[in-house]
Amino acid sequence: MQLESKVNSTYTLLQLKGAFTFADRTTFKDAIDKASQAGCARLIVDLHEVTFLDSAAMGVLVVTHKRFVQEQRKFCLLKPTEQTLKLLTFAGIQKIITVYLSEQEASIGNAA
Amino acid sequence: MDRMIQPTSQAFDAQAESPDHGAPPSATILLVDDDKLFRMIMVARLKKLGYRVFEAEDGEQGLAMLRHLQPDLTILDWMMSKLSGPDVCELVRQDPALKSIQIILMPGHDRPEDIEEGLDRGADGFMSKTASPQEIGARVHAAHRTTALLRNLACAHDVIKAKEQIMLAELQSAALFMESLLPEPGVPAPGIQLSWHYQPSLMLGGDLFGVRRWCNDHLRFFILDASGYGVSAALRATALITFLHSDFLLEAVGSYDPSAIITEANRRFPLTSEGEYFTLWVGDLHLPTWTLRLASAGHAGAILCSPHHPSEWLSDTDMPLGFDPESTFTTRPVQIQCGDRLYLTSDGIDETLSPEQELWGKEGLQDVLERDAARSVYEVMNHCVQASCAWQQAEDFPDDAALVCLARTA
Repeated sequence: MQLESKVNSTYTLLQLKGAFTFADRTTFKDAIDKASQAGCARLIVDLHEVTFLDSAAMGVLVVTHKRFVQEQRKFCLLKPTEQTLKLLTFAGIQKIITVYLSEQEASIGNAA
Repeated sequence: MDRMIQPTSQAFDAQAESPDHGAPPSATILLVDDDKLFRMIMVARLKKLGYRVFEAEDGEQGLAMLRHLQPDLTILDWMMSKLSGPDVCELVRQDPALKSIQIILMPGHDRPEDIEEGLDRGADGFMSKTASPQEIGARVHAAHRTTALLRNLACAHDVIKAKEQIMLAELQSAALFMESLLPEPGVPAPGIQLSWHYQPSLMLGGDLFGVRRWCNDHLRFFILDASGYGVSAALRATALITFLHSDFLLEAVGSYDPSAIITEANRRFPLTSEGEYFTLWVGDLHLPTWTLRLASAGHAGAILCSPHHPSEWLSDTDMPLGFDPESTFTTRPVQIQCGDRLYLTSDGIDETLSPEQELWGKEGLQDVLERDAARSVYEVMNHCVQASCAWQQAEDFPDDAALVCLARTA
């Protein structure tokens, strides 16, 4: 999985690309830690180029979300592909983490 | 015989004669040269540098001594009777036991083609017979440092290999234990045939399933998936299966109702700080009425294939265990008819990706289950595994792959 972080004045956009699996947990966690150390209060994880999420990756997303909630920070998912959305739905992730279909919606929703 | 280059008087200057303590006390050098006078001079020189020196008078004797002594460094003359220096080099490099031995060749001429041939045939370095004592010392010490590094590396490699063997044996032992937790295929209750295929991804799996009869009238079964792979997932799966198989389950839960079991499991197995969790599907089949009551926690892998009605996925999108301690789960009933086949599947079976990163998915699995409905359960399960492997164009699954079939035969 490839990962790119973009920071603007109101939020951090973490763009993931490829399959996000067990093997990518550390890469993702390191990126989250880095963003947190930089003072990130709103994080949007862009999934539109993610081809697959395995169960381990979903656990990492949920535990990251819980951490953000505990620290009163915002965390959401953006534009999963149809395939990825199906996996998120099966695992009940949508009931926990808000999923937005556009970056604009995510930036507004995440700011609320 | 190589008598073209003889040691010069330069080799005996006062500085070189002074003792040199650069060599470790036990470092050994094998000097192979058919020129007795040259050997005598070099041996004296090398001994003064602090090395233990052995001599061989031709290539054949040199090779035999090299194999026997395994010296830290071998200095080889180029032209010798029986076996030349490059011939010896080549034979040494073919022997894995001698791979760390450093060889310095002494060519007759300082020609590029000789250097090329010497390196090609296994030499590590070159030294002219007219080399100054300082150069001899420097080259020998450098070669010895390389030998020491290579031997340390070889030792570390051996230690790692030995530890790997121990870990492999332990993993195999643990994998056997995990398999011992799985139910015996066969007839767990009258009119029910149990079959399964199980293939853990890294020898140890986080997917387990169980089938157990209780009170004569009930057959309880479940399939669980610990997120992730390997030892950690296997240990967590073992903890959950111990809870599910426990004789105290009734005491802990208060009933054998699937949603009550899942609710209690949700309380006992929270999401870990590393994001590890379980998905779980639990069923309770009442044998006198063939009513299946089921509940699931994020586990999407149960499909009822029936000759009487369209196939139906028996999974709700309830959350996995531990995501929300306040989650509630519901039990729903399903009627099982004669000829029905209930398949429990781990996501490892259907979450395979094609080289183009397309998911085979539940639709792919369902297609095979329905297409092969008239075939034996054994054939159907084999075809499912084959189709999933064909989709991903690989024989090993990236995740644990479990496919269980409970078929009502009467």
